Amino acid sequence: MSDRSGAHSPDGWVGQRYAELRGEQVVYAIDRQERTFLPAAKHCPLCPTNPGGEPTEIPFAEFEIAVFDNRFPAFASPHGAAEVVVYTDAHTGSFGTLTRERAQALMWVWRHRYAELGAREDVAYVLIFENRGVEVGVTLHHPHGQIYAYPFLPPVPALELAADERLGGCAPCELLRRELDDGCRVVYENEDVVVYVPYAARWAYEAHVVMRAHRPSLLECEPGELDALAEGLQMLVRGYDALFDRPFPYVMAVHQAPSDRHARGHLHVELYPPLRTAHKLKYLAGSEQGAGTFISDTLPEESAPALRAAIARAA
Amino acid sequence: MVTLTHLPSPFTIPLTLVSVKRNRSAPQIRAGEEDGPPETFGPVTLIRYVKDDGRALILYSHGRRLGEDGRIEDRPRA
Repeated sequence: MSDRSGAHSPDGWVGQRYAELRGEQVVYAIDRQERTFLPAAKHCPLCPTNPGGEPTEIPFAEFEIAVFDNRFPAFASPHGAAEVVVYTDAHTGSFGTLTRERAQALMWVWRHRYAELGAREDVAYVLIFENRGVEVGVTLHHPHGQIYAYPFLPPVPALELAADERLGGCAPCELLRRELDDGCRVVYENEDVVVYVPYAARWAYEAHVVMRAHRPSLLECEPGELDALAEGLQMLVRGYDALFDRPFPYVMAVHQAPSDRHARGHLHVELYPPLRTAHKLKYLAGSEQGAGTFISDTLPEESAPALRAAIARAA
Repeated sequence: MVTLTHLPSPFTIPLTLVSVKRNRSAPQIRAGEEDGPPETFGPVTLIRYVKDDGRALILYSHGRRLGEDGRIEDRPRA
């Protein structure tokens, strides 16, 4: 019943407690309750600061990509880090509407942050992610993502390491082989990246963007592979928007090797969209929360052709 | 822990990294708070700043050169 890594600050308390029954850490970041919530565009803290205008997080009149320490961090040194990654100084748009050049540069920014944060002694795992849409809890509409540098290995990457053991090698390599052999759930591919709705997708339009070659992290990718990753991701999210002809909410999570176990892992990006139809959301309810078992009402073999067609329309 | 020694080369995109200090109500960079010279990371150029409240801010630029004052020349819009 002890608090671990807890730290009081003038703004609240940040720390973690171990939930014995679930065998997992729960993180408390009390001051996040006060974080900026869906401000009007003119008060957006992620926009550039115009001369004479309201100060924002980025005190320049223009910028390309900005990364800064989260003002309301879930993790902070010496127990991890929380950063915000602003994709553009334009308030409107999305990851999908970035220019190709900007999306490619973003891959290098991700790589830089993974390298720098992962090298810290207080960081065990670096998660780069984006929440898009109020349906998944977005509080700022300006195109941006986040990075959490965890002081411990979270459950999902731990399960991926366990899958490696279970399958007798790199699990994403094996699953990619199976998806390519089957082919019916593949929705897009280029020279270096394959995008598919996984065999056991939990969300109706869940998709995984997987490097063809075994690359534990962004650090091992050749420059051309980073370009291909940016292309695959943009093709997918543009297809999402075309699927129901509306901005498509999702959680996008970059899965990489734990920073202290770098020989393990296979770079892939998982997207979890909550929409199961144009206007219906999948909720995590009794079975999902009480038993930990997802109940899906859509077969991946049904959603993949629809998503594949949407990607083709958006291309 | 991973290190930059894992990075393949050559890189092709310049990166600009900036960290800035600001206080909670007025996020301004104090004059002369650049936290080191501009750096390159592959094809990206970066400049680090420190905000008034101690938080880091990093600005990245791609495909553009840095001017003598460290600012990015010919910045493209997204």
